[in-house]
Amino acid sequence: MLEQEEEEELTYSLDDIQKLLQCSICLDRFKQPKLLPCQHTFCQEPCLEGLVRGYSLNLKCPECRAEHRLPYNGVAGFPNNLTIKSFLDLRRKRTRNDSGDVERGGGAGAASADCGQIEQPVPSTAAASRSGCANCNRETFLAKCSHCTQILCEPCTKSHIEQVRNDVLRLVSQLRRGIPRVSNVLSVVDDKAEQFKQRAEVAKADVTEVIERFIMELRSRQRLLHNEIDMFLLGEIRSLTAHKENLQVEIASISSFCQTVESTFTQPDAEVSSDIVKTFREQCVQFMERVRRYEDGSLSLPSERSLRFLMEENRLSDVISNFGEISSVAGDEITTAQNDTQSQEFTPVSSHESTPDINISRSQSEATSSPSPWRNNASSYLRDEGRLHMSSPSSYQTPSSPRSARSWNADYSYPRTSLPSATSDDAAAPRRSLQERRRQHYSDSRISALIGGRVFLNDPQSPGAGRRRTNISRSFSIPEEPYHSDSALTLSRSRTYTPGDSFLENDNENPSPIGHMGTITRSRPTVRFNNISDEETDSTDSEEMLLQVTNFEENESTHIANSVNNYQSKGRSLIRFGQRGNDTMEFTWPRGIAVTREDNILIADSSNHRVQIFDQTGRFLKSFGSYGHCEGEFDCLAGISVNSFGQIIIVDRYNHRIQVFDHHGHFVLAFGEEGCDHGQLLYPWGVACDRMGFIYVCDKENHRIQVFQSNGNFVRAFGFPGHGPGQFENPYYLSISPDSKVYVTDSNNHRIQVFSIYGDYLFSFGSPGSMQGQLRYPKGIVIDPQGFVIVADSGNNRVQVFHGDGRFNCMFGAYGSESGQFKGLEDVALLSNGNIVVSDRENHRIQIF
Amino acid sequence: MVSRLLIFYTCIQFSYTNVFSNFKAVMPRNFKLLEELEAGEKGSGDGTISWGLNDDDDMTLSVWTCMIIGPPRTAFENRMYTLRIGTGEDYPIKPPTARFISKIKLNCVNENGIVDPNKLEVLKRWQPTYSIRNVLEGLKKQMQHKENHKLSQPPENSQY
Amino acid sequence: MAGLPRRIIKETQRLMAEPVPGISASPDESNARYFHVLVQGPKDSPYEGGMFKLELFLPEEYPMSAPKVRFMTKIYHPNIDKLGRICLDILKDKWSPALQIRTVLLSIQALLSAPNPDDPLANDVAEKWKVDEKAAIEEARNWTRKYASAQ
Repeated sequence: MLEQEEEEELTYSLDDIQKLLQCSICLDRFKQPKLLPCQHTFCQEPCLEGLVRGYSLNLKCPECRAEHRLPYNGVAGFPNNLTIKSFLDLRRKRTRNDSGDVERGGGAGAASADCGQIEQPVPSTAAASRSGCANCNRETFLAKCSHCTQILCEPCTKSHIEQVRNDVLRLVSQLRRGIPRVSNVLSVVDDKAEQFKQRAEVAKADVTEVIERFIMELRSRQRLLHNEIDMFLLGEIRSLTAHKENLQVEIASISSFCQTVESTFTQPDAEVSSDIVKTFREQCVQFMERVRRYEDGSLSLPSERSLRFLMEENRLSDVISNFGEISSVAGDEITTAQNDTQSQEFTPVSSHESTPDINISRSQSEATSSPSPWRNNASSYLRDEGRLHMSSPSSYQTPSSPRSARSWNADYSYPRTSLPSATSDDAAAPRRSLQERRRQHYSDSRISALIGGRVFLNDPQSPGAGRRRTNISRSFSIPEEPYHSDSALTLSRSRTYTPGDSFLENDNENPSPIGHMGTITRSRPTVRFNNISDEETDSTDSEEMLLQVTNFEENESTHIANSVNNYQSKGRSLIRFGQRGNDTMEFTWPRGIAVTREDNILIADSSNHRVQIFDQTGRFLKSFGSYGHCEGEFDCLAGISVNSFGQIIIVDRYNHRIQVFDHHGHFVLAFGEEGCDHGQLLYPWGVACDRMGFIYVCDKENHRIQVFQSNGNFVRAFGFPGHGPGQFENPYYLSISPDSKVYVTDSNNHRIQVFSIYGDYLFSFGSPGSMQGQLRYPKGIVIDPQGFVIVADSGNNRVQVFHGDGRFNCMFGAYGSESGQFKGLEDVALLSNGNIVVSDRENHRIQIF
Repeated sequence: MVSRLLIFYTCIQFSYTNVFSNFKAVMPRNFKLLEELEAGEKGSGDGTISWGLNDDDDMTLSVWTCMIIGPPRTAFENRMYTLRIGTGEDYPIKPPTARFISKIKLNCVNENGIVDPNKLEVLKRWQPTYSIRNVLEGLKKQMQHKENHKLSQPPENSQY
Repeated sequence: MAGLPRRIIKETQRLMAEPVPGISASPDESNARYFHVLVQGPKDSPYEGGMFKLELFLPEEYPMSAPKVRFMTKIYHPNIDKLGRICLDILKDKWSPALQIRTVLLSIQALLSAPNPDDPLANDVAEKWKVDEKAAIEEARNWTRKYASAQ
């Protein structure tokens, strides 16, 4: 009955149903139709599978662009569209009845697939049920599917099994595709293991070395103590020998006296005078007394001296048993911050990504690079620990051991340098924040620049001095290198500072091939682009040009090679913020940037018709402005500038006017209207203020610069349309140097033109192209206190830095949306700490370098 | 109806013959050249070579002005050489032609500035996957080649 | 064998069988992914009466990535540059595999009817269009007469 109804419908709308059964990606009949949450249906394979790119977690519906989260088991996890499925089955039946009809729409493949699935009730031996097939609802012999609870008839079982089979095959192929990931991880793990082994070896070597050295120290201590004991023994023995000799003398004198007396008395013929007897008697008494003194011990014998080796054994063994410590620090403290998306996606990777660093921590050794005090402590323990204590009850003085120990101490030069301090640095590196390293690096280079500058000032003429200076700066600058393999991941775009980049005027030496630190460095050999752009200019012309140039070489930047602000090391953005949108922190084509005296960043959020204010770390402070033509309203604002009074000057582009605000963002005044006369503007763009408060405006479609007083009164205009010197084609932005020159980005002429503040043409630099020093549609421009010119080379998607006279200094950036990449960068500005703020227009974000 | 079906059949047949002759999607000349142009505009070179259309509204994309900065420690050092590369109708099946505008002494360049395709490896063994960039890199390699080290160079900025 | 995907065959069939009014597209003889396209300038637009030649290429990843399309006839339009490259979102980040050659060509035709000078493409024509639309439209007419009517 149901069948009949649908058949009727089909006769009406065969083609329509045919279309409904067609996947809009492969334009074929659905194969395993999957229903997305937005109710659109597509084939699982290859259509939806093909949509999922790489490790993406989301899937965008091709019909309505709705984003859906991918189920954990991939697109297979989306529910089947059962309605479509049953329609597909219906078609099958139709095919059986009149298969020729379908041929046209369904295509040959679909038709042949249909033919194989004609149902034929076959008696089933399995436990049959009579409640109806779950798929076709027919009451035939039914069997329970072996793997799910569905009860199906024979043909449906077949197709069901077929489907399950396909599912399994697909899963297997998915698994296969997954294998490389796992094997990638495997190789990563292998690498890590290898690295770890190496680190372990290094650590072991460290331990051995330190221990060996302490053993050596102990040995020499042993020798010293032995020597002292020997000395002591020698002295003691000497005094005992003296004593012994005295006693021997005593014995000899007593016995000789005895002999004398006896022989005198035993001589028969000799008369012994009473005097002599008397003397003998007195002498006898004397000797008797001395002997008695020996007998009762009242005669002082050399005192008994104790000799002991004293030491606080426990203390030393405590020190030894606690000596050293193996600490293992996860190295991904930095990486996780930036790679969180990746780690989310495939957790096993992230867990292996962090290779522990073996760190033989020697108390403060990682905090300071000087020889660690702890080690000194340890050795002084060793020196003091086994002090030879001698106690003597008498005043008898042996050479005092502490003093000897101390004198030895002084002689012994302690080998401080032998410890490889590099390893301790290495181990410390992951703990130090990136920022910290950069800061340190910055200060290093600052020192180098200072020193370099001083040496140079002593002898500004001789190129030799310059070269000397370079050497000095080379010795002072520390290349910023990826500290270890893990952080190298995130540092991959970091620019290695190569001192060789330094460039010297009048120095025709080869730009030495610079140590390209891996493929990532963007440092390039320097090439001069003085006035190369115009190849036809004959020599006299170019000489004149140079003469002119030298007249105005007053900027510091023209005679120093390395800026205080270390542009060479920039290239990876420190801070990035913003995306397309109109909420706070979102932009729609951000254009002009200005920095206030408080180091806040003003962004002209062009198509949101407002100014957003951030602090120098990118924290949102406030915004003002809205769309309109009244006071304080904008229509696609562009350039923005802050004058010396702190007022904010904003170019209201499509209203052809300039608006001035106080530093709170309150409207002060507006001037300018559409037109070509003096004081009138036509699509003005960039704006800058000099120290006197004059406002310079790029009057873009009038191809000129106009100067106004801070109250909006017209002062002067200069420049005409054209390609010659002093002529413009769409000047976009401008900036005023510390020595009061006006640098204008003559965008469609692909050059920078330089004028005096009175509008006299001085010189220009840049030619169209993508090589160093060449420009393509230059936009924003800013000049640092030394006179280095930073240009947003918009068409080349890079920032270029020039000396004040137009010589190329360095550059960074490339096309793209990663860190340090741009899509149509617009303006540049400088913070007081030397960081460059860049508006990355087509990425709708701000980057700080 | 019948005619429509006929069209279908011819189409299918036609398409299938193409299927068999094209294993991979071969990018047609103009789209390949546009990609090369974009690469050049984005400055994907190392700053020592560049290429761009001679005429920026040349819709045929056939004449290119390129520059090479002489590699360091060679006779060509720091000089900027301009050359013109022609990508004909059959590019990239057939190799492009190259001619120096700036005077140069190089073994693979004749007295008129034309690069001899038989003496430059990249032109001699041209592959359709090669690009203008490869030609420029090939020429730069030639400049670094020993046999060209000792060649005395014509004055800078002189042209043919 | 990596043959021509069924989808491309189907699209080609349909393009030939049910051509879009004002648009013709036929595959190249030697490259089935490369199409020669002719688009009529839409009525009531500065391009009316013109016949514009385009080329279209379906890259290897098609339909997962967008076809490449370029004008071969010079045209004065704020979203089409000097080399005929088209600034159209569905050819770039807004591409969806549910779109087809047919829909792309229709979109291009619609772009001729409704130029969008606010589009970010840095372009002299766009700026002119913004500054002086009347003159720009006149210029577009001139160009159409000059370059697109020879057919």
